[in-house]
Amino acid sequence: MAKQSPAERLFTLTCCLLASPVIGLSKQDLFDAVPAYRESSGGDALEKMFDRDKKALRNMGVQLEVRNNDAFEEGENARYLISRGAFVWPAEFELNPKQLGLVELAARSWNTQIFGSAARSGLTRLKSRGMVEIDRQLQHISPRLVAKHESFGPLADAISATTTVVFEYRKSDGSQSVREVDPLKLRLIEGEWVLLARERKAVKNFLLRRIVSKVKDTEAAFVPPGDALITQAEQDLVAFAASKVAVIEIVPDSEAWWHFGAESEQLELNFMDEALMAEDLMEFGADLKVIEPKSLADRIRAGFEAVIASHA
Amino acid sequence: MPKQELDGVELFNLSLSIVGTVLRDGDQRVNDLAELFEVSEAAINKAVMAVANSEDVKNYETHFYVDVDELAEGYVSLSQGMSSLSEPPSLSRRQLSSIAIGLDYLAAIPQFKADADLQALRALISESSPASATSHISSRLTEQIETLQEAMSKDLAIECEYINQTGA
Repeated sequence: MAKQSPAERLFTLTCCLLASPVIGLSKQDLFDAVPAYRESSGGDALEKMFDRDKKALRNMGVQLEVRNNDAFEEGENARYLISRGAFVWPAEFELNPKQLGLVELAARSWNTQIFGSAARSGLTRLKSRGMVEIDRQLQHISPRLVAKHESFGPLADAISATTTVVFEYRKSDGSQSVREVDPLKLRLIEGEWVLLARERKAVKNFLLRRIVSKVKDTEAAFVPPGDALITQAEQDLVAFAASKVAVIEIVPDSEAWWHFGAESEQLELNFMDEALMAEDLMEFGADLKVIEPKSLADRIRAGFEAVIASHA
Repeated sequence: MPKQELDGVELFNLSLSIVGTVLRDGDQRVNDLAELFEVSEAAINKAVMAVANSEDVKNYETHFYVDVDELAEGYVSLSQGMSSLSEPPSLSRRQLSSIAIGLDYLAAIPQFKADADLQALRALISESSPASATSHISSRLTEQIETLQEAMSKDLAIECEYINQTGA
C-alpha cells in the first residue's frame, strides 16, 4: 500500500476509533491498525505525529475521549475512543438557502487565517447536511471582520472552554501588570475589541489592543457568573463608550471627512480609551482638530511634539 | 473561485463531509460536489481517495468501499464497509465560535439588523457565541454602503466623486 497522506491517516484513525470496543483502543492498537503509524519509524516522531493527529481531530469537532488508568496523566495504559453519540446533530439543525448564504458570508468575513479557516471548515461541514443551494444574492456583500489581535483566538477558545487565562496588560498610564481572569465575552464596540472578564469577583473590561503578551490558558475551569451580571456589565460598557465623546472639527472633503462619514465640519465621536483614540486621530494629521475634551487635544499635541523631537 | 490547495486537515474535513453527503443523498457527480463545497474537482478526488484508502491493517477491515472506476468517470459512489461513520461530526467549538462571531458581526451591520433568517440562525448557532458586536456609528458611510450594495445587487451603474491618494 502507498504511503498514506495526512488526510488518509486522519480519516483512518477516525474510523478505527469509531469502530473501537466500548473500552476503547490502546495507543499500540492504533499504531498497529493505522497504516501510516505502522509504517513509521516509531519513537518520538510517531508519538509527535499521534499527538498532532489527536489535536487535529479535536479541532475538527471529533470528540476523542481518553480514558486513563493512570491517575494523573495520559499514560501508556490510556484507552482512546470516540463515543457513538458524538456524531449526532441536533434534530432541528436544518438551514434554508438564505441561512446557508449568511453562514458563508459570516465565514468569508474573517480576515484572520486561524478563525477564517475554522469558519470555512465549519461551513463545509454544514453544507454536508444537505444539498441546499446557497442563496447567491448575498455574494456582492463582503464585510470584513478585523480581529488582528493575536490574543483573539486563544481568548475565544478559553471563553468556549470556560477556562481561566493569564496575560500581561498595559494600562493607558503605561503601567503593566499580569492579569489572571475568567474570560466571559469578546465585544466589538466602536471598532475596538474588548474582553469582558471576571477578575477576583469583579467583572471588568480589557481592550485587546492593550494585551501585551501571549494569552496563556491555565486550563483551570471556572463557573461563569449568571447572565444578569454579564448583561449588566455589557450595558455598563456600552454606556461608558457612549458617555466618552470627542468633539472634532474636520476639514471638508478631506480623507478624515470621508473616513468618519462627516455631514458637517463638527463631529462627535465615541471612544473608550483616550490614549488609543489619540493614536487613531493622529493618523489624520491636519485633516482634523480636537475641540473637546482638552485632555485628548493635549495628548495629540504631545504625540506630535514627540514625533518632531525624535525626527528633528 | 474554488480554493485549489487544501491542507491535510482541510482535506480530512472534506472527506468526512463527502461521506455524510453521499451516504445520505446517494451517489453524486464530482463536479456537483466541487460546486457544493467550493473546491476543485481534483480536491474532491483526493478526498474520496482518502476514504477509499482507509483500512484497519491490523484487523484487515476496509472502512468504505469506493467505486474507483465510477470515480474515474466523474461519479462518487461509496458504501459502508466496517466503518460506523455515517455522518460528519457536529461542529467543533472553534468552528462554531468562528461562525457565531461572524454572524454576530453581520447582525451589527444595519442592513442585516432586522433580517429574520439571520435572527433564526443566530438563535440556532450563536447561543454560546463568545463574541458580539456593537456600534454607535450610523453615518453617511452606512448609507453609502447600502446604496453601493443595492446598486451591485441590481447591476446598476453609480456616479460619485472620488479623491485619490494624491488628493486629486
